[in-house]
Amino acid sequence: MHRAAKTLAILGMALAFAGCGFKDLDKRFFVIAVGIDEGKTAPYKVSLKLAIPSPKTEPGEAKFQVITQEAETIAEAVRLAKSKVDKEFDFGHAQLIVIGKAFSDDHELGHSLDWFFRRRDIQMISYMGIGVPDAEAVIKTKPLSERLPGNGLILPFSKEGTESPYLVPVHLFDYYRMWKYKGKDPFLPVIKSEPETFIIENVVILKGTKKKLELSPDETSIFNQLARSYPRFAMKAQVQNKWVTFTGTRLKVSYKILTPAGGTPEVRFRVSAEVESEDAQRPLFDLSWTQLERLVAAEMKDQMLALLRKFQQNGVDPIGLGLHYRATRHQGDAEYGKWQEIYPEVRFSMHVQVRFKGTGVIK
Amino acid sequence: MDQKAVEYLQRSHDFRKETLDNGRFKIELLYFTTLCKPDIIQKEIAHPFLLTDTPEAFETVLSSALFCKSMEEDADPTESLLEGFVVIVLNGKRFKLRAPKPGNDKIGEAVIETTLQGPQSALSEDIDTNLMILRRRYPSADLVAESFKLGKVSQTQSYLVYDRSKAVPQVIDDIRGKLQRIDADVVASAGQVEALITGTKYRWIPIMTISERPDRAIFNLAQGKFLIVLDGTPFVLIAPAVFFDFVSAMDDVYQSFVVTRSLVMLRYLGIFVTMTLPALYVAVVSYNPEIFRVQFALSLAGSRAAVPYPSFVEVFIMLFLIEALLEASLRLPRYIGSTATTVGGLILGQAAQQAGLVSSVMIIVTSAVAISNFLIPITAMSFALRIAKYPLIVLAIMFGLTGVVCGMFAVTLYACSLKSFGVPYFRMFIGEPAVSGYKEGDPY
Amino acid sequence: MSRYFYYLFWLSLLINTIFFVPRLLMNERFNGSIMSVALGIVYGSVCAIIFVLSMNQFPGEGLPEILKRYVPDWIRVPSLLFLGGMFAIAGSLILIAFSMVTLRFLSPETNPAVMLLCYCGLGCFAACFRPSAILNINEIVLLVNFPFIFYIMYKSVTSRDIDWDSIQVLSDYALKPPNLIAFAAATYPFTGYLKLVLYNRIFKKLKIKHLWLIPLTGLLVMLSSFLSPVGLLGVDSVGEYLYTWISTADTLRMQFGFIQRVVFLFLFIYIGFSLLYITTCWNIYVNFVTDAIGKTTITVKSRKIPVQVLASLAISVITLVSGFRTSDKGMLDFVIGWQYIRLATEALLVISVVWFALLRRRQKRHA
Repeated sequence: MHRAAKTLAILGMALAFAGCGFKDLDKRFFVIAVGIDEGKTAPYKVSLKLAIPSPKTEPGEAKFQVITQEAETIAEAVRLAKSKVDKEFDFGHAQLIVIGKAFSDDHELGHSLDWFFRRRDIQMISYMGIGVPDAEAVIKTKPLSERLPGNGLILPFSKEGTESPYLVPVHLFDYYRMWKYKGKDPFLPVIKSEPETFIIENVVILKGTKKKLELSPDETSIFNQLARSYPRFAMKAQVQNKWVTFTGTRLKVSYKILTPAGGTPEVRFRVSAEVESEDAQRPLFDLSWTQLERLVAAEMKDQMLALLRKFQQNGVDPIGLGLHYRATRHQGDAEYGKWQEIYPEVRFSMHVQVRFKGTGVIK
Repeated sequence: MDQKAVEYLQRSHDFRKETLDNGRFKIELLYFTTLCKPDIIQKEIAHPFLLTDTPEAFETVLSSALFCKSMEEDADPTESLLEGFVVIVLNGKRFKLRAPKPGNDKIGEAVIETTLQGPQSALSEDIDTNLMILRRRYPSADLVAESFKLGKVSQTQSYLVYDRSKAVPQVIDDIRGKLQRIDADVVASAGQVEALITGTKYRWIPIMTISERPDRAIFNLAQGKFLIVLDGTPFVLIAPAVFFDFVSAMDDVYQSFVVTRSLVMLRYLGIFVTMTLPALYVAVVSYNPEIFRVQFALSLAGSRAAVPYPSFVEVFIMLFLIEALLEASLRLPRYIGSTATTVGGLILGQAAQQAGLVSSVMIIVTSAVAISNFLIPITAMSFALRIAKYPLIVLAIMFGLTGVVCGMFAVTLYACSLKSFGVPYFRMFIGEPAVSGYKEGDPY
Repeated sequence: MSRYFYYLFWLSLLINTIFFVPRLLMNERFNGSIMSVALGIVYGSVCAIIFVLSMNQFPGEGLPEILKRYVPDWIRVPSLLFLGGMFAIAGSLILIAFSMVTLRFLSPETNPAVMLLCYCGLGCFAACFRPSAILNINEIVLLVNFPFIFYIMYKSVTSRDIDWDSIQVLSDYALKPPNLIAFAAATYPFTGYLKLVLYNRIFKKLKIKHLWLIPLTGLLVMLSSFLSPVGLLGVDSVGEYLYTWISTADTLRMQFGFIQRVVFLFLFIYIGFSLLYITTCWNIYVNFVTDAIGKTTITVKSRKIPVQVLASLAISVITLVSGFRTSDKGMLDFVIGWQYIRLATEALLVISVVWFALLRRRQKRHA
């Protein structure tokens, strides 16, 4: 009896001062996406997309609420935003970080985003992107088919839903690592807000942490191929004055950096791809496949070289050539300085090998 | 003759004291009509008595009869009488003849541990029948049955049965000592014997198997384990037991290897689910909703939207309902039982959710917990594990997921530290002899 | 039976390649970590193998029995207490580190004291069990978790986000001379074999076989635990992460998993492993203290209390208090200091056990 009383007392005490982390999930607001913009009165305007759970999930029925708050820092803005809602924010599901276009034009995107890197509850695998016209607009967009709030944005990024060649997802940790790398420049995809949908079709290349270059959708696709060997690309080429669209089924990109003594340094790309024709204005089956392959190869080569030269002219290196240089040379800390000297003069060469796999189900 | 004892017994109306007279001499018979079979008295006593001429000749007849012993001069006959003996008084000399009425020796169908295609009959409630079954199925000269009387009042007949060539002598000595030290008035069932021979009062997980199946009994005999067979109950106690014994059904021996292994895996999974699921629900809902993908977290939150109180209240409500339902359907007469289940299961669950008392996910959790609990073949274990979820829920309330993992660790460690008669109870590779061809490992 | 030895070894390997060691190694990644790791693997394996071979000379005897045989009491008792203390600290460090990790990543709103209390309470409860029960639970927890560990390691090495260039950059620094702290850190994961000082008691007949597993598994685990953070977090930024491996695990994603973030799977596994490690270390400490005192119970206020319980209570309270007062930075400083002492102790212990084994062989030959 005595012992039972003691046990109860201890248990009661433990219960009394434990359980302060106890907060049911209906007392929490899941923050699905965070947007950062330039504020009118303060440096930051933070928008939070809060999911409103409902017992029924039907297409187009996703409910959410957007809270915006301006403040000196992100942390402060979040704290102030708390006073606008009745539940506690839970950032555990914040899978998307949107940076407004205006903000990204004027600010460096490194230390200003420190809050995201430092918070323990922001996933390292959240996706990042630049919002056009601004982050708040992107966050407020409500796609028609959305069943759960945020799905419309998260699914394309995670490639669970659509798989687009124009989307180059960037995770938070990846961005941080690119920012800190000597020899690789970060990039971010651009999310354009439309009334009832999003367009994610190009990327922005940063120099260090400042915005430097915006690619066109076609360039983005090429960049996706170069940097990530993304095989699902599509390309148009003229075959005997008729347009033919080819799609990739397999792609392998590798490169070597050659620095012959005395000669010009060279980056030698080797690309091997397998393509199929998807949409042709004339029959292809009876043409010479070797020629088709050559044609595609030439087209790819041109596009890739053009993009690489563009990077070079702008002094950015999102592919990580510099990192590769560091990886393959053995001079320790001096390498990066050397690479910076070399890079503007580097010559690119490209060997593209294409195999034409077939014409689809008709000739 | 101890007159006092006889008079004391004569208070019961089923006690008989009769005097037989064949004209030449007289004998006196003392017996309980309810305990003794009249046929035997007729055949062994009355009939020869009629034919014999002298008391000496009758004495010879008695001595030559089966199950008849002469008694000490002034021994108390009460005990023998109560065991179904007939006491014969002949010229002041006393003999006792065993003439028991058989108890319930019908062999029932196995209902607690059913198998699909194994032997269908269980043990009976009569100890001699049970021993007969065992001997039939295990015709080995090494099979030893040592007799014990358990309980100061009940004097329950019991046998310690083991295979002399396979059992570990220390284990047998150990159990023999424990059986002799039993100090209770009434011993009625196998589970009670287990309680009586376990040292500590605070028992949780059973460390002896209780089974009604003769095939399980003999498989275990062949593994070198001992059985305690008890009169009046169709269950035997089997020890030393390891945890694996409680998750193996007899069907496992009769099915193919792959099927068996998958079923055992399924049961372990069931054990895990039945122990942790409610605690995990509390921990996830109240501490770490970010663990699951966002889509799931949102629908969970949606289903909980109508529930006005914290997750653990909800869990306790549903668990109370389900436990009450289980207990009720167990103890109720069979015909009412099924009604209770229908009422409780179907109507209450639906209504509770619609009334906003519990979330729909919680109903799934509850039924998953109950169903996976039924996967455990030995009832003693499934009862023990039904309790295990409550401490885990408390830990989940206090510490969240960490608490659940810590609790599971503590439970595992507790099980690991148990020993059943010197045999480690809970291990990965149990190392028992493979008598059925399905268990293998290095011997302990 | 020698599998039990490997469980102890692997537990230590898996635990220590996750906590302080990567942080220490990453700090020195441009200053000789790689060489230190290489040397550490060799040194650790050699120590482990000769220690095991020496202990095989004493079947069924732990260090307390061996010491009793060869040294006088005034050496035996203090050295047992000291070694027990070292094991206790090893366990406590993991306990405090892990309570910090869970506080940060699993339940940030929980009171730190409560979390520590949870762990300390469990450790205190668990340390007093029989050594054979501890070995059993080692087996169960490790074997149940191995598939997940393999999965995470496989996932981290084959992740499409892993940057091999980043790892290759480190090759420039491979020939930098090793430094002591990185070396000490690199040898630490191998110290699981030391647990044989107690658990050898249970290995009555069997000698430990397949010793080649020690360097092989050591190499594999060390490499993946050293290299995948570099590849995933980036060679230039990996040093900035405080919880190197937790952050590394957070970069992985199970696309079709019920749990989407690998980090949670990782945390669950490591709660189990940490508890196991704490239990094992404290169990050794508790048994050593009991042996050093030479009594099994002490009478406190006319009640007999087992020494084991007192010892484990003591360490729990100490851990609770120090865990409550320390911080990330204080811990790291302490660990660095402690690593030096540990390295010296380990060397001394191995040498003396080898010495005892040689004595034993000579005795046997003469007898």
